[in-house]
Amino acid sequence: MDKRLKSILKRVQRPARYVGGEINCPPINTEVRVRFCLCYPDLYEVGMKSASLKILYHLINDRKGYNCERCFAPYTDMEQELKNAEMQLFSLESRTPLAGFNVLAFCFEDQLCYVNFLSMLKLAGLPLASKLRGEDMPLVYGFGSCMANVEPLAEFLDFAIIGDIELVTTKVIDTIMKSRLSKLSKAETLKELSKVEGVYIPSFVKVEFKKDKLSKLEGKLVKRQIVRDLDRTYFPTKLLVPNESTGEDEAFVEMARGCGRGCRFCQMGYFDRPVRERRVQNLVSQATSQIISSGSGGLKIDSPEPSDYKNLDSLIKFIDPMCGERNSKFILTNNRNHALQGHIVNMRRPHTVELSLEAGSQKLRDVINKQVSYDDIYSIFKASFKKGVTNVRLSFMIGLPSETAVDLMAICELAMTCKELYKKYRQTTRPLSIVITTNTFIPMPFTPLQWCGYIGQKEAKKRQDFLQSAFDKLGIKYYHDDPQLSEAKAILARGDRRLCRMLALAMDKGVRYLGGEGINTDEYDLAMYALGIDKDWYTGKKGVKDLLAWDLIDSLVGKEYLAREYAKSQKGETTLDCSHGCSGCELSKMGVCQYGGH
Amino acid sequence: MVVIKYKKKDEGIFFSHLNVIRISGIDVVDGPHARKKKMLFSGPTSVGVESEAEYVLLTTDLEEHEVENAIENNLPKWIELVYVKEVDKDINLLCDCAEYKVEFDDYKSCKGRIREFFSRDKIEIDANVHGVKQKLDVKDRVYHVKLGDEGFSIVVGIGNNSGHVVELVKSLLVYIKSRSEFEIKKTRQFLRRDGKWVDLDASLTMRP
Ligand code: SF4
Repeated sequence: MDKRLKSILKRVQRPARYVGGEINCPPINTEVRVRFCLCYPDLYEVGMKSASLKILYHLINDRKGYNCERCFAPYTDMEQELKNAEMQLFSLESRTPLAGFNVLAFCFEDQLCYVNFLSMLKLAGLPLASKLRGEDMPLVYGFGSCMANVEPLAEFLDFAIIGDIELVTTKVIDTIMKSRLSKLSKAETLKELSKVEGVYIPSFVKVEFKKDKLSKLEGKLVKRQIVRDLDRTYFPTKLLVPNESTGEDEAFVEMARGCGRGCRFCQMGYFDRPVRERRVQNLVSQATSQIISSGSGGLKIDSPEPSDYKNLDSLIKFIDPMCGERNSKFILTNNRNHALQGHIVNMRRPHTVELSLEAGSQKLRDVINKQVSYDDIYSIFKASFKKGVTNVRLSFMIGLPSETAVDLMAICELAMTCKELYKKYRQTTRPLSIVITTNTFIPMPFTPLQWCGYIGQKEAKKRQDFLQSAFDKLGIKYYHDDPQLSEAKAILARGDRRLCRMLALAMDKGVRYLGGEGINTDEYDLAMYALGIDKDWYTGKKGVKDLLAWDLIDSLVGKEYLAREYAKSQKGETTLDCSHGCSGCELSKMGVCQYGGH
Repeated sequence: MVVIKYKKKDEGIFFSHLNVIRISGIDVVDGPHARKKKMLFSGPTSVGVESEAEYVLLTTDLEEHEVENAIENNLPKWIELVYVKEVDKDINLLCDCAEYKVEFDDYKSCKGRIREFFSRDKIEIDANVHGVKQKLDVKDRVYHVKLGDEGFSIVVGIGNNSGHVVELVKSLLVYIKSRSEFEIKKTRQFLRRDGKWVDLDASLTMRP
């Protein structure tokens, strides 16, 4: 190891973040024609949890002639050390400076990490604006859930991938390889890439603004790409074992993609449709090879909602003894409504019941189409307490459309009822611990509530204070998100390319979001003020007929369908879960949905 | 019950002992529910320090070779398994002190000042004790110093009686006015038995 780097690593926190060489790291051949670096704009231990990153890393490395390395955002101490030593940000595997790669692929799963992405480019010595990056500099592209709206990063990204990465990535890397072999320029390569389905090229999009409004958006409509059959899609046989604990270090298999519950605030529920499941047999064989290759004591079975998996009983029947034989335990992720299904146990915390109720009152639960009734909730509590549960964690959203003080009070009332039920059904003398968490509602692109407004940080703070004083009186622990960060996220989620300048300025002023910690976040407000950006316009309510920054992306679900759902939400009407009846989104016409009509 | 001895070198020096345990799966050789509670570490070395003598005592029903098989393929390339040894259950693995080798560029020209540093009545260092920064006199925790040709070796207390070797060396460099980068390597651990210092490796073969 380079002496300078060694000396830096001795001074920073958690140096194992920056050394690579994990178990199951494939051999790296730096002599290939196209060198990829997969970048995650957050800390190592956050990025190593990302399912997209896990899959894509091995997918590229398993292809002959390609090579893929990784780079994560450095923590502020490492960033400062690199600047002091005038060293460029480097990949973990071969410690090549990022500027030495042909392609940098950034995974965006949180809008607050956009500033980290810019700081990584800067630390790599690369110009932020794509048009300033020369022929000898890497192509920079984005993928991940945030790419539902590419526009806030339009000036920085050469292109973005929309939809399931496995499908588009293989076509993208082959196109780049061909372009390099034919010695095409960057502009010519982008032209070739524009022919690949699912590739969005911001520089090919014409945008105009009149007053504050987006008035013109011209370019090719990019269809979200979906893997139809998960069983026939690439999934790695070995995964890296992280050097620093991610808190989720188990082996990992993906049980299903997409969720059909139709919660109207949830982007995954619409932008990841339809529900696709892997077969039990396939999951068991993938799980076996993952456990053997990682030596892990646990297996994480990932899914948006495990209890929706059709063959859950039979999966558990096979997985449980297989894990038992190998001294492993299995964990079903996002297992927050587990008590709805008697057989699913939260393996991480067996004495805890976690429910994402999102709204305290039935009225608001109907608005957001969260189909859980008071009876459901109370029976979950009763059943859990009878099983010996002593910890209850409930999460809600505040700032939902049409929310009033009565809806906030309903959250407190639910907590009180929970306490009363515990007194009645408790199995132990231990006191009940209730933890309430709230997040502020952020209208997300491609959801039925995408036209709604965000309440603003001042109002969010007011509602949080209201709940805080109520819970203090009740002796209940209460946590909430940072209103400043939720506002920044709300602006970025539905933002347009005018925000690029704001992001660059905020990054320069030291704004970062690393490992869930916001750093210098006051500077967001100052940057917007300095650039004359009207944040109320970004956070405000939109008209159904307004042009939206993501209108050149076709989510396959259909804008009319979303508008219908929006109208229903305003009337407090609910829509059935896809597994109980198709409500006729556009996917129903494509024959790709297991539930939907053709 | 077994003792696992391993070495940390090159990039391995940046792995904490807990990371080594997690990655290697030492904590789950007996099954996932045996996590952590059945393990004991003897003076784990600080992150950033090379070590030839890291020890973990693991309570398990497995045989030596079974533990060895379970973990040896899961070690990062910079962590080397030295041995897995079956031991009596009342073994004392809590060492009192450890030997370190210290090297830095201008060592040869500073030998006199180094001697002077260690022969003072007080050896003050800036230490972080349970998250609190404080000045600490570690004179009575430095048991032995031997100046060699390329560097010096030092025996200092570990565990509750820690001589905070990294901070000690930093303090030494300030004293001798050296701006060199230093390398520290832990070479052995000792425990006190019948009034004598016994190398932990040797003690593992003795009856208590
Ligand atoms: S086609 Fe029907 S069942 Fe399928 S995702 Fe759309 S609404 Fe749900």
